[in-house]
Amino acid sequence: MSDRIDSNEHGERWNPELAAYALDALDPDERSAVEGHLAGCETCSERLRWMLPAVDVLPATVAPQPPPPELKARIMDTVGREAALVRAAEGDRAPAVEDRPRRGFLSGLSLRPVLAGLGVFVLLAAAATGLVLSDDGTDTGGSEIVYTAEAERPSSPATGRLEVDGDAGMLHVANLPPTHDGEVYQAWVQDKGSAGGSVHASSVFVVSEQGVGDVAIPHGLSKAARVMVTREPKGGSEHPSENSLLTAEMG
Amino acid sequence: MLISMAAASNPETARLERLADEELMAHVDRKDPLAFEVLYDRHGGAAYSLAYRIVGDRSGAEDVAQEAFLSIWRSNARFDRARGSVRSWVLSVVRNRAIDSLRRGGSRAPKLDQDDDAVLEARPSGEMTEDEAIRRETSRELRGAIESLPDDQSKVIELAYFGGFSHSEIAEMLSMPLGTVKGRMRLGLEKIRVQIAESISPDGMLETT
Ligand SMILES: [Zn+2]
Repeated sequence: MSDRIDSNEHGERWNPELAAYALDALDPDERSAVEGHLAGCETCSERLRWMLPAVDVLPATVAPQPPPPELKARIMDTVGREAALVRAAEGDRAPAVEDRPRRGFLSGLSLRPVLAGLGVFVLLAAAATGLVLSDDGTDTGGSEIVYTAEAERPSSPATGRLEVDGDAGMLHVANLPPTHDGEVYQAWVQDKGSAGGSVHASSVFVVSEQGVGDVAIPHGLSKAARVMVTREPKGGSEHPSENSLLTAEMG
Repeated sequence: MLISMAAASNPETARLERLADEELMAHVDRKDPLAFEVLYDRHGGAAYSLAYRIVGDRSGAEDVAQEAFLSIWRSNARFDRARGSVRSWVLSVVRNRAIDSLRRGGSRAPKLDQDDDAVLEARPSGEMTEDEAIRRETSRELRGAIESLPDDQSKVIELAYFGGFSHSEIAEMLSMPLGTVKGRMRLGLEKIRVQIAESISPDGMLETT
């Protein structure tokens, strides 16, 4: 195969690009150009697939170094704790959530510009309250109701628990991916309502390296249908800029 | 640390250990810590070795390996079957993290002539498991394959892969015309590709021929 490709002009033009691409040695604009070309060129895609094992083999040329046992201990310690959190969240089933169209709101979010134009989204707590990392053991007393928050994408391991006491509450999250620089997570409160109630901006927060965080929802929960979490630019947003990653349905 | 109790005597661990990597990943995706431990046991050594080769010091390599494995555990990095074996994928996550850490540190001195063997020779061979011994042999053979490349080809490949330099940075570093670097990368990779297809089959890494 290689001879046929090599012999033509197309190969001469693209094969060096593909090699540099396979080695992750292209500048960003060149990388996009190659990716654009690959999307429409089966010859080059095939050539790249052929070439990649030569890159995959490079780590095996490195002399094996015995990893320190503490490394495994540290990794498995974190993994064990996070797995326990996930199990705990799974065991903590929310109080009977009726069968109702919870996807409805998600499609609502993707219609955001229209809805925003209608003034449905109201900025409530101007991305204010910030966050409490670590468990500060909020004693919410006896009237507290606990709901489970679930990841909206089936592939996401994110979980959470929403503790509601009257109009306020605390959302505990786990397994959210760390945010990039300039990004935060933001909680949103959606009111009850037949056609999908108003969505209010609530607190912004970040998560620990382990993907764990606690965020206070200062108000709006007594008439809320659900609490959602999205990723937003630092400082938070007035309207959610993506579909909910994690949703606590309040039955 | 509840996990370290999972010795091989645990029947669940023993069952997981018999699974192929791809099957194991399905359990890892379901947040099974025992499956993750098996994954680490299989690839942690290669991951740490690669991280060490790139960042050049033990504590940096530990940080990189830890970040990489935790991102895999948290599914921030998703396994893509189309891209190759689980091992290649794990190592590509490690490589990306290691290069990021080099760039963050701002100190990217090319480490080209590291005598990798010296580190290992210092270890009594009695401490090596059979698996390690095989890997070490494989790594020797593969290094042979790369060392048999003309210098100008192996150098550009190593600078890109282990140093995280772009082709234009390499061109400047080696005072080569732009374009030449890519051409050498291409020739070098093609030779390695042909050699591995002909002779060596390192633990399932080569599914395509
Ligand atoms: Zn093409």
